[in-house]
Amino acid sequence: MGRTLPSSTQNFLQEQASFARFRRALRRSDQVALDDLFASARQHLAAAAYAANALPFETFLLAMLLEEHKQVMRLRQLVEADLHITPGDG
Amino acid sequence: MAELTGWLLDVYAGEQGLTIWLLTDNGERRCLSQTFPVTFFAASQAVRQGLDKLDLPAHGSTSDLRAAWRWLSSQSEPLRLARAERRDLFAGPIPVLSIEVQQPAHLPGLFRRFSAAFPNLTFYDADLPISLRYGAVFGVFPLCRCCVEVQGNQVKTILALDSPWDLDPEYPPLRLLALEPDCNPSHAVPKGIIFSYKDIRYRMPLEPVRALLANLKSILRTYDPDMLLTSWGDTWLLPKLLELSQANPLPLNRDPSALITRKEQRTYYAYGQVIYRGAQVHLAGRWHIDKYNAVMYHDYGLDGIFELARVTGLPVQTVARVSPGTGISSMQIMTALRQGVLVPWRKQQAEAPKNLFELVRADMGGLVYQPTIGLHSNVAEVDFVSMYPSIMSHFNISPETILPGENDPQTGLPLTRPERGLVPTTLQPLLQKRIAIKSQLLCLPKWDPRRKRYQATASAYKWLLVTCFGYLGYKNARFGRIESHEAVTAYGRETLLRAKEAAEDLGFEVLHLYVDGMWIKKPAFATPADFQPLLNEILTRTGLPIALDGVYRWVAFLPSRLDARIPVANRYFGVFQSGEIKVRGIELRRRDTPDFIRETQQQMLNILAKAPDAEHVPNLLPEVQALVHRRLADLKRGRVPPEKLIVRQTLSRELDAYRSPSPAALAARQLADRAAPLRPGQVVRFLYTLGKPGVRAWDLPGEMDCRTIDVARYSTLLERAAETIFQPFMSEPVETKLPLLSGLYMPNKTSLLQEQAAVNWISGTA
Amino acid sequence: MWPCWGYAVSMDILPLPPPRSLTVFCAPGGSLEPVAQVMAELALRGPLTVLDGGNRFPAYHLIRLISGRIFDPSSVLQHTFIRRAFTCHQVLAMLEGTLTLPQPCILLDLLATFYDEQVPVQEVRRLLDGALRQVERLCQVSPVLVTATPPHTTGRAFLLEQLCARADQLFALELPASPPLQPALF
Repeated sequence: MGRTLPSSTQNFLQEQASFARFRRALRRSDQVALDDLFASARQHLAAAAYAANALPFETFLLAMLLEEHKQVMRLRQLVEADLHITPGDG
Repeated sequence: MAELTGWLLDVYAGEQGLTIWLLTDNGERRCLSQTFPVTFFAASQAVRQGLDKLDLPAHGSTSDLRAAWRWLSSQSEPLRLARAERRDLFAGPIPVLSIEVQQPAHLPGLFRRFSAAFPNLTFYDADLPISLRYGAVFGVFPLCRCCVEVQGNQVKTILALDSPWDLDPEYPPLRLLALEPDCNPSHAVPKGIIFSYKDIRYRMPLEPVRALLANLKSILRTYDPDMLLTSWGDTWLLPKLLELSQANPLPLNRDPSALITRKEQRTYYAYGQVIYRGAQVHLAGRWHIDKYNAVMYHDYGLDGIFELARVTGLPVQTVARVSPGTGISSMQIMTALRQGVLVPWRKQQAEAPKNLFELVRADMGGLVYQPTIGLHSNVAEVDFVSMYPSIMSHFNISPETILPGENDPQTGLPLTRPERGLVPTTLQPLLQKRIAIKSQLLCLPKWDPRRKRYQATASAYKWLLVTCFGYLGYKNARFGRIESHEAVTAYGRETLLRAKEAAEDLGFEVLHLYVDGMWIKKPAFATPADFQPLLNEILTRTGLPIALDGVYRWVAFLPSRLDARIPVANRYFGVFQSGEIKVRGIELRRRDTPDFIRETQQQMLNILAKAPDAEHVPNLLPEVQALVHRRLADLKRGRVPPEKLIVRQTLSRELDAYRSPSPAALAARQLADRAAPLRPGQVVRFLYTLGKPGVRAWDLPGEMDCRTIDVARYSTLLERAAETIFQPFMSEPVETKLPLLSGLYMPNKTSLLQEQAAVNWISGTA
Repeated sequence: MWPCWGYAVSMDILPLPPPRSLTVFCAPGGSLEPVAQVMAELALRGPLTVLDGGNRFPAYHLIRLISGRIFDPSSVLQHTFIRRAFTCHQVLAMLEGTLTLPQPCILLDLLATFYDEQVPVQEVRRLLDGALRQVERLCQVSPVLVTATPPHTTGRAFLLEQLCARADQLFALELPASPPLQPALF
C-alpha cells in the first residue's frame, strides 16, 4: 500500500514550483535571494513533515523565518562582540 | 515398529498422503509416507464482516454455505464436512464450514473448482504450503533433528529434537553435486559442463551427448547426491539436460513416482522496483538450487538458505527462491496455525475511516533529518537494533491489535490492545536470536568456523526483519493492515525524536538522523565509553535497544550534486577509529558504476583512511590527486581493460515501451534478436562508445574494438567520482589547492563553495 | 481569508451530485481538479465521505481549496472522512462496510484496482457487480459521485461501460484530439 499523500519534499518542491512565475519576474539579484530562502527552508523538511500541518506552506514559511533569525542572531553576536572589544583595545 | 533418528529433509504431497524424506544417523536416505488429511474452511462474507448485525445486504449469505455443502458432497474426492467455529483474526470466532480432504494432493484441484463454483464465499487455510501445515501439527521443520517411529515405511509419530531457535544446530552431512556450464549461457553458448563433488572436479563437453548423460547418470546412481547446486540450472542447465535426455530420462528426481516441477519466468513490481525471476526447476527427493536464481545467494549463501528453511518452515528448494516477504508471511501463517487462527485466502480489510486531519498525521514515513554538510571529527553513529521490528514487538503492533482512530491523548501515539498480537509473537524469537548471534559475533575470534554461519544467519534474518515492516502495509499481505503500518512509523518517529532529545539534553550535537540511526558529536568525546551514558539514557526513554555502530575519526556529509547548499540524507563517507571505511550514497555503492570508477574511488578512500584524524587528512590529498591523475592517464592510453568499464543497468520496462531509449535500452535493443530477449528486471551490460548509438552491449558476439570506447565519457565519470571525495576538503577555492580539478565541469564552483562555507558558518560547523 | 497558493480555480465544470442519484464522472488521465472542487463545496456544506480506490486522494489540494473559502477550516477537515482500498477485493469490502448515511459520498477512481491484469476477468466482473450493487444501496439515501478513468487496454472496457450504464448523470471530460494550433510568435 503506497502512501497517498505527497512527502514533505514533494510538497516543498510543488510549492516552490508554484512560484515560478513570481520568480521569473524578479530581478536576477532578487532571484538569488529567493532561491536562498527556499534552500534554507529545506534544512527543516523533517521537522515540517513531523509537524504534519494541513497547510504545509505555513511551516515552510516559518522555516525560512527561522533561518533568517539564526542569521540575525549570529550577526548580532558578531556586532556585539566587536562593540565590546573595540573600546578595550583602544 | 522401528525408531529412526535423523534429519528431516523434505515433506511434500505424494500419491498417498505425504512423502517424507529422512536422512538417518546411519546415513540412509529414507523415503517415508504418512497419512495426513488437510482441512480448509469456508465462511459467508456477511458473517465474517459482522455485516449480518448491521442488516446490510451483503453477498455471500448462509444459504450459499448450504449449497456449498451439497456441492462438496457430490465430489469424487473423499472429504469430511462439518460445521465448526473458528477464529478470524479480526472478526473473532465465526461459524465456518470445515472441509477435511483425506489426500493432501487433492486439495489444490478441489479448491480451484470449489472457489470457482462459490466465488462469494470467504475461504481460509485454502492455499497453505504443506510443509507449514505439517510443521504446525508436529512441531518439526526442514532440516530439524527428529525421531520418527515407523511401521514399514509408514510414519506413526514424529518428534522434533531441536528448535529453529538453537544457535548451533547440528547440520546433516549432505552429499552435494555442483554442476555448471563453462560459460554464462545468456552471454554465449556453453560447450561443456563442469562437475564437482567430493574432491573431484572436471569438465565434460556437451558433445557427444551420450557420454555426458551416461556420466551424469552414473554419478546420480552411485554418489546419489542430496543436492544439485548449479549455476543457471533453473534457466538453462536443467531444462537443457531434460531436453537432451527425453529419450532416456535421467534420474534427476530421487523420488521416481514424483514429477519434476517447472515454473515459468516472470517479472513483477515490488518495493518500487522491477524484479525479474527466472524459470525454476524443482526436484523431488533431492534439492536443486541455482546459485543465480536463488534470492540473496551472494549475500548469505547455502548457510543462509538452510537457516531460513528452519525458521520459516518452507522447503529448502522453495525458500531459496522466494522473497523475504514470503518468508515472513510463512512464519506468520505458522503462528496463526499454531494459535488456531484462520489464515485468509485473500486479504479483504479496507481502511477504517479517517478524517482529513488524521490522514495528514498518519500518512507519512520515517523521520529523516538532513545532515549538517561538511567534515566532522569524532562523530558517533548510534543505531536502534532492528528498529521497526523491535517497535512491533515492544509496543505489540499487529494488524489485529491496532485500535483505529484511538490515540494516546498525551503522546498522540496509536493505542493497541493488550493481548499479544500475531506479528509480535512471530517476530520475538527472531529478534532474540539475531541479537544473540550478533553478540556471539562480537566475541568470537576471527578464525572461528562458526563466524561464517552466524554472519549468514544474521544477514538472512536482517532481510526477514526488514521486510516484516513493509509487509504490514503490503496490499496483498494476508495479515497486513494499513493502520498497523502507520502505527509503526508513528512509533519510529517518536523513538527517534526521544533519542534526539536525550542526546541534546546531554549536550551532544545531532548531525544527522536517518530512519533508525543518529550521528552525534560532543567536544572531547571520542571513545566508545564516552557515549555509553547516552545509550543508557536513550534505552530508558524509548524502551528500545540502541547500539554504538562506531566512532568515526572523521565523517563527511555530502550535499546534493545539483546544489551544494542542499543537504542529502544518507550520503556520506567516513573512517571509523578501527580504520574501517563506511560509505553511503556515493558512486562506489551504486550498482551501475563501472568497476574502474568504483575501484578508483575505493582507492582514494583507502589513502584518506591512513590519516589518524581529520586534521591530517589534507596532507594526503596530493597522494589522492596523483592517483586520480594516474588513473585518468591509464584510461586515455587504453590501459584499462574494457571489462572494467562495463556499466550494468536494470531494464525498467519492455523495450518497445521506451519513448526516448536510455543507454540500457539501446544496448538491450542490440541484443533483441537473440533467442531470449532481455525482459524488464533483467540486467543489461554495456560500454559507452563513440558515435551512434553511443553504447555497445557487452554480450554482443564478436570482438570489441577498444578504440571505439568513449574515453571522454569515462573520464567525466571518473572526475565526478573524484570530485565527490575531494569536495568536503575544499575549504578554499579549488583552483589554488587542486590544480587537477581546474578543468572539471562544476557549475559555479566558487560561488557554491562560498555558499557552503556560509551554510557551515550559519549552522556553526565552520 | 487565506490566500490560495498559486492554484488556478475554475468552479463551473462539474455540478454537485443531486441527492439519491448516481453521478459518474469519467476523465482520461484521471483529472481530479473538477472533483476536488466538488469535494470542497460538499465538505463546506456538511459531512462528506470519500472512498478512494486509486490511492490518489488530493488531500492537500482539497485543504487549500477549503482554506481559501473559510477562515478556520478545522471543523470542515474533521467531518471529511476518507477510506482507502488497494485491491479490488478491498474495494468491495470497503463498500460493503460503508453505512448508508444521508451524506454525500464520493468514490474516487472506483475502477483503478479492477484494471489490475493480475486479477482474472471473471473475478473482476463478479466483484464489480457486487460493488455496483453496494453503490446502488448508497444511492438510495445519499448523493453519490463516482469518478473513473478509461482502461489502458480494451479488454477491460466493459467495466467502465457497466458503471456508466448505471449512472443517472454521466459527465465525461474529453481531451481535444489535438491541441488548438496557434501560429508561432517567434
